[in-house]
Amino acid sequence: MNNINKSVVRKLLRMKWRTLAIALVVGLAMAMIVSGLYGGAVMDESVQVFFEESAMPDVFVDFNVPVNRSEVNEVLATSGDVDDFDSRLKVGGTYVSPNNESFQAILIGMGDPDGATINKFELVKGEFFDGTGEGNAVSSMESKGIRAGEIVDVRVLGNLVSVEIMGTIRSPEYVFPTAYSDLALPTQGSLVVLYLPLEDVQALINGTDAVNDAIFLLEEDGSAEDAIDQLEPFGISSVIYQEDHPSVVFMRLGSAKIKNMMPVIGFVFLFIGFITVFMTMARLVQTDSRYIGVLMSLGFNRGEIVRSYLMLGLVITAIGSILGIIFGLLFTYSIVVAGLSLYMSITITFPLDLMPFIVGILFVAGAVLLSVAIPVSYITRSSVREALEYKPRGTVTTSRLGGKASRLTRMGLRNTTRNPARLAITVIVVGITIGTAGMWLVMMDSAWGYMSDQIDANTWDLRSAFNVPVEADSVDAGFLNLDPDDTSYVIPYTAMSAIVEKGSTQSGAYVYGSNEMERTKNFDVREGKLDFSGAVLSSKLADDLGAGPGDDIDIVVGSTVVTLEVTGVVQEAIALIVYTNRDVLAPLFTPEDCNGAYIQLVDPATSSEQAVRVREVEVVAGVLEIREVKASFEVMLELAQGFFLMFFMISAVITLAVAGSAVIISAMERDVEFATLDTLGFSKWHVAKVITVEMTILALVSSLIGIPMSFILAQMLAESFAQVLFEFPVILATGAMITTFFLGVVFVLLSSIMPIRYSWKLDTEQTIRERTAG
Amino acid sequence: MAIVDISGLHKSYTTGSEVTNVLTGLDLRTREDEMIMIMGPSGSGKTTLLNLLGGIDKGQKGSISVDGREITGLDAKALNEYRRHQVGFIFQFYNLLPTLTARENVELGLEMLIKDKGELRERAEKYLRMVGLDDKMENFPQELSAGQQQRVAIARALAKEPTLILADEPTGNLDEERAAKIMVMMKRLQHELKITFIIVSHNSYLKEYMDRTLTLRHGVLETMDA
Repeated sequence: MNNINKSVVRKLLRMKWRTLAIALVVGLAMAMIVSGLYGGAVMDESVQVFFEESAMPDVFVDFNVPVNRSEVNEVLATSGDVDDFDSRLKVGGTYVSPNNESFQAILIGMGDPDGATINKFELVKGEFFDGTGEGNAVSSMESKGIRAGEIVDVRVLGNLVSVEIMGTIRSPEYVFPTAYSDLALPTQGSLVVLYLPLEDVQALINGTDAVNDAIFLLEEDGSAEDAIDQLEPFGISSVIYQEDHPSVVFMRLGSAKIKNMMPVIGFVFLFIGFITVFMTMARLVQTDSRYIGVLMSLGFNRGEIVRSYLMLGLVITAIGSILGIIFGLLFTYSIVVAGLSLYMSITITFPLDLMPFIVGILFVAGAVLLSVAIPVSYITRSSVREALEYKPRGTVTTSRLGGKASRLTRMGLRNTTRNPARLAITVIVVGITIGTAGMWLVMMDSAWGYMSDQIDANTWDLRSAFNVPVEADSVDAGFLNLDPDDTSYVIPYTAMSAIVEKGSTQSGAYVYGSNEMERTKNFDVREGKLDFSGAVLSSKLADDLGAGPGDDIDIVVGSTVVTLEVTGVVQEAIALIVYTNRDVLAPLFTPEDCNGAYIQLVDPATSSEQAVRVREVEVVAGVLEIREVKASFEVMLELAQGFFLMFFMISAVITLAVAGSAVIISAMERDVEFATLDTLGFSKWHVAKVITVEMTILALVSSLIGIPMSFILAQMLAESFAQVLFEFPVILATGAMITTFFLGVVFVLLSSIMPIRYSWKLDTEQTIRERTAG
Repeated sequence: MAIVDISGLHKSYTTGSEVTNVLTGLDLRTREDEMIMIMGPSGSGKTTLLNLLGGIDKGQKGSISVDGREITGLDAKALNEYRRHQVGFIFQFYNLLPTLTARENVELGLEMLIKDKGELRERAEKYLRMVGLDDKMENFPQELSAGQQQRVAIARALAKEPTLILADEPTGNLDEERAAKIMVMMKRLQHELKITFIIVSHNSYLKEYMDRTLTLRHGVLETMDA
């Protein structure tokens, strides 16, 4: 290394804390970009590996009624489209926990779980079942008493069934064991899934060799449609392709969210880093102007000098990149672990993908080198004489702030406005940084409000699903074991999962048909009207399909297709749902029948006890309480809160670093003043007071700016959410505002340690001699 | 041949609407291996003259020739070359790079002239020894006294073996005893290395080391000890 570069590197080492603070800001910016790009890749890879290793079925088919297993197996075994398959029997039930809470349960009868070659289980604890009376439970309901070694009782079709849980497992088809998959939000802790010997479940319905479910893997060139067609004679009630299965959809949504959200934050930080580096470098180069003059007088040309200062940028880039890689991996790991464990842990696989890191480093290098090159190029444009004669800024903007305050307070106040342009830049940059921290609080409040609104829009308290089709006219309070005086309404519905197509675009969706659909929910119409003689689409589905009022869509279940005209789009940004009348689904489902009912209670507070009564009805497969849904969302949001708080803390640390870097520049400019105060007999604490007054003003103004910034940035983030998940209505709640302001002030004030430390370490004699002599 | 040949040099500064004529047709000729001191009151243009001679400022009129080369019409690149090879600067406040050791500071001025690292080091050490800093070569400026720092600055100026050294108040920051030591050393080097020195100073006691002392007054040079 030549001496000019050596000089710059040593200069960096001398200002190591400031260099580290700047590198930390750009490193965290890079980490956000990296974790966004890499986190998504890790999630995709982990999901892919998990689904491949566990042989996640390509197609899930449900039959209307139990059918003969041997016949189904024969069709699947002889199909040239099917590689591997299994046929099973699923029945619904109710599990009552030791705390007397009741939960929807699904019992799935199957062959040997250990030898399964499709939908393979991973044992979490215990062992696989091996005989009658035994079973395996999907892990996630341990806290509700579903644990290895326990005997649990499940009410099925009016009978109590005891199952000894031999072990808990992970099942690819229930990565998110939720009772609310049609609500398209991955919640857990709401569904008990038990795998039992097939014969045990068959015995419950007295169905010898009966199954009502088939899962299969396709041959490499196999056609799903052809395979489904072959099963059509058995009467198909729903078909779900792997890509539309909730396990896959939720995981992909998770990775898409991370991919979109994190880089947005990263670029905000990168901008902050750019300004911080720029301000610091501009000041550093100005201070170094005399040395630049010396270099010029020695015959160095401008290019050589600029290149040497770019070393500074390279070192900051290098440290920032190292921090970016470390933090990036750490964030990625935390996000993926937290993201996946939010529902159910799967093994995390880190793919060898260097691209996110290369992209991150390139962005950091670009921003840093540009922010170094601009001020250095500017300064080196001056002549050797100007450079040699440079003295730090002598003129200040004066004011008479402070009135009758003490002299030190007045000094602090007046120092604040001595360089209005820099003050403006500083408060804006620090304000943006505080806004970045506050953004997470705003998001948290908004998410909470949004989810609550979405759930509160439903007017029902209970939603029951039936095992078999039931004549709709017979479904009333009495049929559901309820007192008519306790119910406000009972509205039958028909629900099914289907593929919805518009032209060549298709999406998996839930179809709900009811002749009184409008009463079940306070729909928020985005486009068209609430005309259920056609299809009313949730906004998410409409956006995915690119469909709007007047368009035709096909609802496909097996080989049966119903074409409907889209009449309206309702604000329902998460779920993929088609709402329609029951009778228009005729080709798919007997119009006189239904397979569930919405129930509104006179007293919603009694929903739990009423749910228990409904579950006692023989045909009832499960009952969903809106109260449970809400509680489940709250659990999920509380977990998500951890994320938000983590990012809030990261942003707050950046605020500290940015504010510190900004104010130290101003402090360095005043070294002669600090030295003079020392010669006048002022103590270090007096100087600290002057700085603290100045920092308090900066903290208050920046934090005020931080409030609208947090709102604007949250909207930017919400915008990126809208690309992949849903439009997030951002609200600026008072709590978030006050917290942002208060914490902003605290963190900026904490950063005053840096200029105070600088003033305390200043060598008065040297400063006076070097800066005032001549 | 005259090492420095200045004729009819004019330089003025404009501040707002006010024009200050600093040099008004200044002439100067120096011989090889001559040490000249230029004195004069503050603001008389001493430093301006050095800056013009060093090619770091430009006059409005007149010519400056150094070692037979006219420098007034040179472009920035050629002036860089000129400063790199022909002229050395010594500043009042030494202007050493604080993050480089004494040896590295001297090497810094040579880096564009000598590519071989061994030779570079050898040359720097030779001049540091010449100024009596054999045992301080690896010290940083802040570890050196004021006089030692100025000696490093002198070694840096000498090491590239220029034809002309321009010194602006080289002893201005030193006490009389240290100043005398520096001057004795500079005088010795002047003869040993056959270098022309033009020194600007307020200190009249430096006159005894000079071959000539000139006073800059009203924009022109007057001989003091004629």
